[in-house]
Amino acid sequence: MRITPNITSQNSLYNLQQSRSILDQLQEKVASGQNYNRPSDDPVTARQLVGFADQLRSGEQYAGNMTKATIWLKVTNSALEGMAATMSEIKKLVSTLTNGTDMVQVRQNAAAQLETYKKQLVDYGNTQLNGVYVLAGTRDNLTAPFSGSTYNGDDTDMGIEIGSSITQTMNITGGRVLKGTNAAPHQYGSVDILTELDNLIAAVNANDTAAITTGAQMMEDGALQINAAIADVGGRLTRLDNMQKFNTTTKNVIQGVVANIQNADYTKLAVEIQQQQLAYQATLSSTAKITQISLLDYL
Amino acid sequence: MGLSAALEIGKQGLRNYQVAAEVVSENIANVNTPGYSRQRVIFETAPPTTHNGFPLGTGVKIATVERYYDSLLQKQLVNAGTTSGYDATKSQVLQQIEPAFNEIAQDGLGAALTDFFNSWSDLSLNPTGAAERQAVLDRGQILADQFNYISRTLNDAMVTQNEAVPVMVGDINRMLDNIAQLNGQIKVTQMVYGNANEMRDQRDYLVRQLAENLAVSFTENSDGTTDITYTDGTGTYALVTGSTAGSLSTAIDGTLPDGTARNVVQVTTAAGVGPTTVDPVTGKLGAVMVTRDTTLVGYLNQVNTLAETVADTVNTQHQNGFDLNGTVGGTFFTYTPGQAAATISVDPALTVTTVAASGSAAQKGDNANALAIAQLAKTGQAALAGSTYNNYYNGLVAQVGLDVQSAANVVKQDEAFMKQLTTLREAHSGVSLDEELTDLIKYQRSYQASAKLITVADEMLDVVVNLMR
Repeated sequence: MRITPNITSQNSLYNLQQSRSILDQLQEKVASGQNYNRPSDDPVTARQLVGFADQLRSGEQYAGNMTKATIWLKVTNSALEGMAATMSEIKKLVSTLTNGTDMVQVRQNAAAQLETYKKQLVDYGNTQLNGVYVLAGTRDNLTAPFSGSTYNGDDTDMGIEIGSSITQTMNITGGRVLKGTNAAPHQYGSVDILTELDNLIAAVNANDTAAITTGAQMMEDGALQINAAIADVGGRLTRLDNMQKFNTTTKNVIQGVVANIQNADYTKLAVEIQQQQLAYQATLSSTAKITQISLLDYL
Repeated sequence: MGLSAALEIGKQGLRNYQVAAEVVSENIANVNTPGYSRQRVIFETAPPTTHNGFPLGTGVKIATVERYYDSLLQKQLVNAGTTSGYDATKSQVLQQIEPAFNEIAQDGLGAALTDFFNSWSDLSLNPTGAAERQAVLDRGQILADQFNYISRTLNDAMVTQNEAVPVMVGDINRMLDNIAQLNGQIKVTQMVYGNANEMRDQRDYLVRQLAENLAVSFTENSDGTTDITYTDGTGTYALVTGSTAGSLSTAIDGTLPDGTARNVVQVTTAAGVGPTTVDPVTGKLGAVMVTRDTTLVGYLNQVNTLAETVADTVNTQHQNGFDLNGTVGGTFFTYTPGQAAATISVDPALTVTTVAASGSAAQKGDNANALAIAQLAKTGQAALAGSTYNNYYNGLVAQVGLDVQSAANVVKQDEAFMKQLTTLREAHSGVSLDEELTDLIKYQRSYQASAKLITVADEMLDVVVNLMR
């Protein structure tokens, strides 16, 4: 084939361009630290990568939800633990009164103490987290649910997302704990602790031993009711903990896969750049040499 | 035949080698002229005469100055030019819009979608929280902004393509006029002087350039002219016949999705028939029209479908809920049907109080509706062929990536093919300086020899003249 200077220069340019663009691609990978920098680098892998990114973002959201729910449940738990402690104080006090006493002073003292315990129960029932009453249900959780023996809240569950299409009830309602609302799905017991406590205080004041005995029994049942709620909260916390662990494992696995696909292998890139640089320099050098040769130099 | 014949032969030699040297100098001068084909002097012996019973030649004569030209190669270059013009333009347009879909390098619509539904998930944990409610509104606006941005990128690209049509049409018309003009000159020149090599080169080069813009076919006529025709799905049109050129023009037909008047191309043939609306699908002009009317519109439709589905499903669910006042929820997003991505926005009437997180009018602390909206993100949508929002969008990202990648690959192949063809053309028609210099020395020596011949003949004549003294 006839080779003209133009063919040589065209070919040299083409080859220099090819070589240069490979160098450029390698440089981009090194600079970004990523193997894929745009969807067209590898559309199939890009599809996977954006899918993984979505999954990771959702995972982070679930993790955040679970952390918040855990705090909520721990606050609920400490309120319930407080109630349980108060209930055992009440039981202890009532056990000394079951046989009745003629001493008015003792009865009044006991009644006053029971009043205090009741207030304490109500205070626990009005536990707040960030301005929200955790035991108030959902009707109006910005107002204290308990006033006296009345419960103004409701017993609606508040579900939250802890996984893709997985929800978990977060709240325990004051009605179920202290007012004996015993509707499904969370059945702890049907003792209206606050009203029974009122009855008990009246019985103590009236020295009605039969009523005091009944009241004592009610307090026993009430304590069990609160313990059942505590057990439920414990169960939920365990579930959240497990889900959190599962979530973290999933996240680690996905991050590992993404890193495998996406993270640039610097050692490999360095070697490739070395090779490509050599090729590029050789092309430059040979181009410079060939294009200089002309018959003119010898005439 | 006497000594004067020898003088005559010498004189012819001088003249012819001078012409040969001129042709060499023309070649050398045009070594870098695009489209130039090298020329060669074809020598032949001058007609012999019979002298003293012997047929003897009367010297050298230039038969023609020939141009190295391969019509088959020209055809291939024309076709390859059309393909490469189409692919290169399409690839360029696609690469311009790819950054809008680059979810790998930066967070775009995909991230905005997830973040929006995550903000509902946050709200479900604290349904009465003002901060969470504000976050839902903000995330909604960011999502709307992302839709607006992608729609604007696509629309801008379409408008740019649309605006390129009249410019290209003007360019093509200029080429058609020039080709017709050159045809006329070539015809006249050939009738008078024989060949018109340079003008043919210029015309053939123009034909190749024209082919990059529009798929044309050409016929070489015996009078030296080249006729150009254009064929597409609507018919065949003569663009250049001899020295008459037809023309292209633009007309308005409908509007682009953003309301800009849509340019279409019309052809008036060399015979004056038309203008007829044509449908170019090849060459740069075809690429501009196809990307504008098919590729980009395809992407925009998908983004619109997604925007509409997100707005509709979120609105429906939002209207099932109740706000802090116990009032039933209003629309969350507003948009203009048909232009959902461009016009989607959070309903301006919506405030922190009227975000409907609750599932019951009486329970403002309820989170049922917030949870239901958050869970929409993981639900397959009938309007998206059963995909979730994110999956649908990720599919679009992959599709854009695939289109860009395959266009870039095709361009690479085109470049290699064009390089091969131009190399072949160069090998055949290109000027080699080494070769020209060799020829130059050859002709110089021949010129010197012819001059010597004249000197010798002169000396011989001198002898003869002196004899008679």
